[in-house]
Amino acid sequence: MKRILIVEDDDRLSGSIAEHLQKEGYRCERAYDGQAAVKFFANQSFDLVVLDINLPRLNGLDVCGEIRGKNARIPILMITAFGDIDSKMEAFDQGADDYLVKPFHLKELSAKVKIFLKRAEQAPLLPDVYDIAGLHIDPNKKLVTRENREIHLTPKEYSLLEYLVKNKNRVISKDELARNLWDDDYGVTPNTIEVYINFLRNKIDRDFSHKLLLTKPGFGYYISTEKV
Amino acid sequence: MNYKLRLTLLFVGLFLLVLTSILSFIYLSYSNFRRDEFFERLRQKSFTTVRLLAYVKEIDNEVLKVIDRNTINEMYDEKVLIFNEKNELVYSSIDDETIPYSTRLIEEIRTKQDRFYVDDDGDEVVGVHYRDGEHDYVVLASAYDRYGISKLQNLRNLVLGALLAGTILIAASSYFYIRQVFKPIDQLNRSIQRINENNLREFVKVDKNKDELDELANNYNQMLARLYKAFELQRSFVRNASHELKTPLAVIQGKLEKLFSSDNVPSQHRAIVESLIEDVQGQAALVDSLLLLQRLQTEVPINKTNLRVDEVLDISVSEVKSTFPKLNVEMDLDSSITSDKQLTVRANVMLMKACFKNLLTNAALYSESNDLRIKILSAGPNVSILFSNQGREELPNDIFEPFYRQPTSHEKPGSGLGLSIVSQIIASVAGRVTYSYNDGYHTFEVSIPHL
Repeated sequence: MKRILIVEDDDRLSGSIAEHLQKEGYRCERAYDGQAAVKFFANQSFDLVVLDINLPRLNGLDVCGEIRGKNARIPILMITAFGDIDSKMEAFDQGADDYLVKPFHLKELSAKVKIFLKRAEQAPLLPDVYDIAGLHIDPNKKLVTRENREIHLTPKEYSLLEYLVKNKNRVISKDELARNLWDDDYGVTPNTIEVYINFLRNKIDRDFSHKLLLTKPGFGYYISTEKV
Repeated sequence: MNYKLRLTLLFVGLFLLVLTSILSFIYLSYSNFRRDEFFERLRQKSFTTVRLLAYVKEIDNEVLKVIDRNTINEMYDEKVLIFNEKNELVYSSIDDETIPYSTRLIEEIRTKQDRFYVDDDGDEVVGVHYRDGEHDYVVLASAYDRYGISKLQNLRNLVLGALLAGTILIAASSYFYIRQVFKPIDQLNRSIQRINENNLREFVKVDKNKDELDELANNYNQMLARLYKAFELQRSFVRNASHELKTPLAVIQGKLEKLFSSDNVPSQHRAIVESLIEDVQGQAALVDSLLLLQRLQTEVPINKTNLRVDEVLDISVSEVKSTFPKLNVEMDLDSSITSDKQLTVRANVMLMKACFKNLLTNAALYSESNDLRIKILSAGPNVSILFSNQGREELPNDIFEPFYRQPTSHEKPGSGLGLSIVSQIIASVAGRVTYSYNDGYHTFEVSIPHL
């Protein structure tokens, strides 16, 4: 049975979380302040931590950092009262995997718990590293380099590049890109794809004589492994 | 003009005043001394000549001239004129060039007193009255004090040189000295400049010399600490308030959900529970909005980074769609955008997200259809994001006021704070938000300066 540590200073909230998760078949331990949480974690083993940010004695972010320091793999779900605008993604910096904003649906919580436990269970699937004419893509680190120079891409630009590289030498239409890179009912205009392709060209091709990202006019785009 | 330059000029001015006074005094004293001495010499010369004329009866004027010219003390451009009691010229040391004189002048010297003066040629002239028994002469003697004048000129050059050299020296040395004096102030200034709202805790370095500047640095640091504390207080207020207000809401929602999923609840009660859950979420959204407004209206600095509006929009759309799955969003990046810099703005990511989510939620709640079109285009120094959705009629001007609600929308969730928050967030990044209504479409245009 999976063991979950719930760190929440409000007794009633932590009670209802624990009750809900126990019903879903997990074993729960409850800690009410930051120091107790760290102590619990040191003495027992857990499979997942649900952690409130605002805690007495030691705040949730510090607890998160401590737990992450001891266990690099354990999923940590943060609960926050309000997306604090000053600590931009501080929770993620401290190593949290995801967060929920109060008040949240208990079902949403258990769904996330399930996903993270499953993900932690599976041996991490290491996708292949791509290497095309000096362009190096490491999907694990989301790291792109060309000729050993790091290229900074936004998530959207990265997923566009990854899709093109996965399907290298095949001409891909704007329509196919739109369908695969954006949600089903999140339409994008052909213009939008062009703008992103243009950004990508500026970042990966502009400073190099060997152009990788090519256009087949009227059809679409492709990554070419052969030097044209 | 900065203090260093002002002080240097002041120093140089003071020095010039003092040095000029001293040197002028020396020069003028020497000049007077030379003149007195020269007059005395001329006087002696006059007496010698007149005595020779008076007592050596046999002396011939020509012989006297020869004697005059060959005295050891012969002076440059020397001229001697002697007048008898009838004011007649009885002797002139040279034939042609003479000293300009008038009978009145001779008479004055004879009856009143000896005269010392400089004539029109610049020659110094001595007029003396010689009286001895039956002899009654007036002598005019003149000469040019070649050596004295040359010494005086030499002194003048020296004085001017000293003045110039002294000025340059004092200007340079006082500038270096003042720069040295100002060095700690400049350092303090630089370390103060480095401090901004993001590193309030990096205090100014104090040297522990226990001087005035250290005192200043210490006081400055204390002020920083107070400022930091005030900012922290504001931040923790928002943090604590949201925690205290929203934890009970989370508890209520948890209990309601438990009730909702329990098997022995009649279906009509379930509908009530469901609407209660919606109310709880509405309350939570209101708390968020109020705290956000409070935070925006305080002077507490907001942490800003460079962010891509298209990325923030993507995240916002997917978050809003999880609440409003029916919303259809179409994104259009205009071809006027050629570089990612045109999409990059300096803002706080949470605030931008809150802003976009408010606009998206508005469209989802109030649109006539479920379609929302977002267009991003580059307009000069700004990036413009247009949110267009179908609407029945034009909205009034006061939609950006807090707690504005459409008369027909009261049955829908919402607090009326959304657009007010949007306009304040956009104002905090030096942008503007405008509303227009065209052909049955509401369009909100957010315009923010890009990098």
